[in-house]
Amino acid sequence: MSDNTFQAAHGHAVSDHHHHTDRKSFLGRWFLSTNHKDIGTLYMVWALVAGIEGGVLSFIMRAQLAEPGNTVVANGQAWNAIVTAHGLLMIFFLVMPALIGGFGNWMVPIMIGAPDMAFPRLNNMSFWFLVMGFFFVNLGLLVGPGAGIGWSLYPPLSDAQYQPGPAVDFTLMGLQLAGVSSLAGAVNFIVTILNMRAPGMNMFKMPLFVWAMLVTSFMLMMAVPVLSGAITMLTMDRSFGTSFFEPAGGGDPVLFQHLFWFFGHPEVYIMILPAFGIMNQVIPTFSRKPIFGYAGMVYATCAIGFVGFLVWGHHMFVSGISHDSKAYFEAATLVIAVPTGVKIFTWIATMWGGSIDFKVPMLWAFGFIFMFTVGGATGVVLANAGLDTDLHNTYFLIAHFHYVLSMGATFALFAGFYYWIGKMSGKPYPEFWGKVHFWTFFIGTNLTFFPQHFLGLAGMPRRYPDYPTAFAGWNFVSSVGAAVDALSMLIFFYVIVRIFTSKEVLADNYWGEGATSLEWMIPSPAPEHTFSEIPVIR
Amino acid sequence: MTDHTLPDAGAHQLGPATVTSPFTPVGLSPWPLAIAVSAMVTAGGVIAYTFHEGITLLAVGLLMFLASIALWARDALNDGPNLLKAGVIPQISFRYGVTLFIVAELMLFVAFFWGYFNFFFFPAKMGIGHVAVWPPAHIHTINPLGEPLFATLVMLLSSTTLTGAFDGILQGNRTNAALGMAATTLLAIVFLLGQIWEFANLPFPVYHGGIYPSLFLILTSFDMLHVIMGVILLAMATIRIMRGAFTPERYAGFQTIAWYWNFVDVLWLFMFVSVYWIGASAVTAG
Repeated sequence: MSDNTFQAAHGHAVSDHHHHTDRKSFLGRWFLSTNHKDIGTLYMVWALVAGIEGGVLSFIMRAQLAEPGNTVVANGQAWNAIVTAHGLLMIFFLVMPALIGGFGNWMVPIMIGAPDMAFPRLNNMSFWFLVMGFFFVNLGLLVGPGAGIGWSLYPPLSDAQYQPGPAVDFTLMGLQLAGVSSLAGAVNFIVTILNMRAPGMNMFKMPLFVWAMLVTSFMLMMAVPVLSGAITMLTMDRSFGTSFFEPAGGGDPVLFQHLFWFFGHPEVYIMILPAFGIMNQVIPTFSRKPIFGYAGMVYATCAIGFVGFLVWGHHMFVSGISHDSKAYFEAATLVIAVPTGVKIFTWIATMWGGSIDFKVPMLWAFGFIFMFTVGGATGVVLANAGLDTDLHNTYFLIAHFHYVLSMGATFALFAGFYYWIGKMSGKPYPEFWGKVHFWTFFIGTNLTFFPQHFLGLAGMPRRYPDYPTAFAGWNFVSSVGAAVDALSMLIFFYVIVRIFTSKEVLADNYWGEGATSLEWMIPSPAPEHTFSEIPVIR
Repeated sequence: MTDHTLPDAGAHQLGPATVTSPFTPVGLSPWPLAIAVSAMVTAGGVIAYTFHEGITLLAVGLLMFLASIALWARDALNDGPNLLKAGVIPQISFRYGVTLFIVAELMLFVAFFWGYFNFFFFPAKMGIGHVAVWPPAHIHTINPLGEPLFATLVMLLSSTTLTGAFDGILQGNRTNAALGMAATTLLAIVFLLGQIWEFANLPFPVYHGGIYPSLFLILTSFDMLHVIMGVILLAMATIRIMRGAFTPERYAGFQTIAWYWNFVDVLWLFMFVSVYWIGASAVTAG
């Protein structure tokens, strides 16, 4: 099996003259693009905007929860709408666009030696559908009393009886649009990866980030349409007199939960697999050693992708499903820990005996391994149906998924940013401030979410705008953590300013011998068109 | 500033360092943005309609949507000569793409059929106040041997004419191909008309009719949407055949439409069996 290093017989895998005009207007270039790099940049910028909004919403939430009896948020409906928008924005408009639309678009074609994606116009369509979806989800937050239903959208709360007015309908339409965006993107990635690899790059020579994008895309194809169907049925219940989920008409609210989580569980792996993929690029680079077991990583990725579709019921342990169902879902969920463990151990084995370079991306990678493992461990706790009966929808659950998301996926996002920003912009980041960013975010997120384990074990439920005084202590600590996170975001903005005002010029491969994939053999910044001549891989 | 050569760069004897790209770059295109905007207008139009603000926005959105798709398709077909010169690889990409699209549509129906089988196998999930039988006790379902059977036979016949058309293309017989495709299109329209008739003569109310009409409605109306899309694609293919767009060596556009229609066909067959036939009530209407 390839250890993922290969040689193009010549390094001249770079761009050059092409036949159409070089001059594009600003509007043309940024609204009508069919260039995977520009579209990747659009996604990253948009993800930042959405992430800021999602973050501000979370700061409002933590301000409300800093002390019992606060009235930062006007009422329960407004609270619910904020909670809902926070979740949807972070998942659908930050994590997925940044990792898949951003890094995926930028790096997958380059890593496989392709000049662009298979369907360049479809690529742009994905981006603009996302923008429209973002707009609609924001309408859902802002119109009327807002859509106060949680990101999981459960009826009967999301039915017309309890959420009259168009806010929920805007939110649901926004998700439909975002869903189309993801589906089109998934088609693009699958076809690009299967059909446009450079000659000599067989599947087991692809960088592991590309494998991650491939499996993620297949998961999207299978999961997103089911969400779309569930949302369609919910919209029809709200507005067209049907009763899929309304007991009065013979419908079944638990059916919605099945459909939603059949999408929802693969969705969380859809978020984390690209993050794993980024780790698979960063860790070997800064260990100056190839990944320990390439094939094992491929099989583990595929296993997680596949088994991820078989465990949705662990979100429904207290929904009234049968005892046998609970037993099955518990066992299947515990199984996923195995390939995930393979990955963690592989990363450790990769670093073992390597020459570790503690640049900023590697700090984020270390943080990822540590924090994701903590989050994964609490996931194993929650997988136990008996324990989950007490812990479901408590702050223990919130702590679990924020560890794997705010610390797992987000740390990987920042790792990828610091790793690749030089390739994308041609300019370096400031090493010192990058480290300050990392440490403040690390401290902030841990302060925010670690105490939430205690709150959950003590019985504090999620999605509540207020709580008994007994929970006050850890809530205050958690809110302090959120303030530290806000500070770290300001530092990140400063880092961005420093990057784009830098006068330095970067080499093709500014990381050294550990960086062996194709993007390190082209100039920084990457030229507008790469691989107009396709490299032959040996 | 950096030397672009790598270790082993001297190994020229191993073969060419690069090959010409078979992919032609696509320039700026307004259609993706146009489609996204029209999707937003359509979505807003649906909401406007459900909140009693009329259908204007919805109609405008749909028109914009169709126009954007048509103009995009026109551009893409004009990539065609480039694709042809470029060879078979972009055609393979196109086939992959359509296959994946069909998979996504299939998964959408998985959601609706999941809903159907949720109650078919577990009628008790209808909750208290509803007798746990499926179909529900007060519902007379449509007689499967009536219009549904007719529709099924029309569908099956259409797939035969479709195969005949494909045969015509593979043999370079444009007349047969065009006739076969025209026949397929006509049969698809007949199917559609039959379904519309069925909708107009339902033996149960849909609005506030309960779970059975809800499921029936969503399954059959989404099927109809896909048939409508199919009619448009089949008609397009017929016209393109008549213009000589396909040869025995180059027919990816036709083949993908054929796959799509076969998908619609299989979908209907599955629906016929599971909803109309084995899901029939003891006493059927019609």
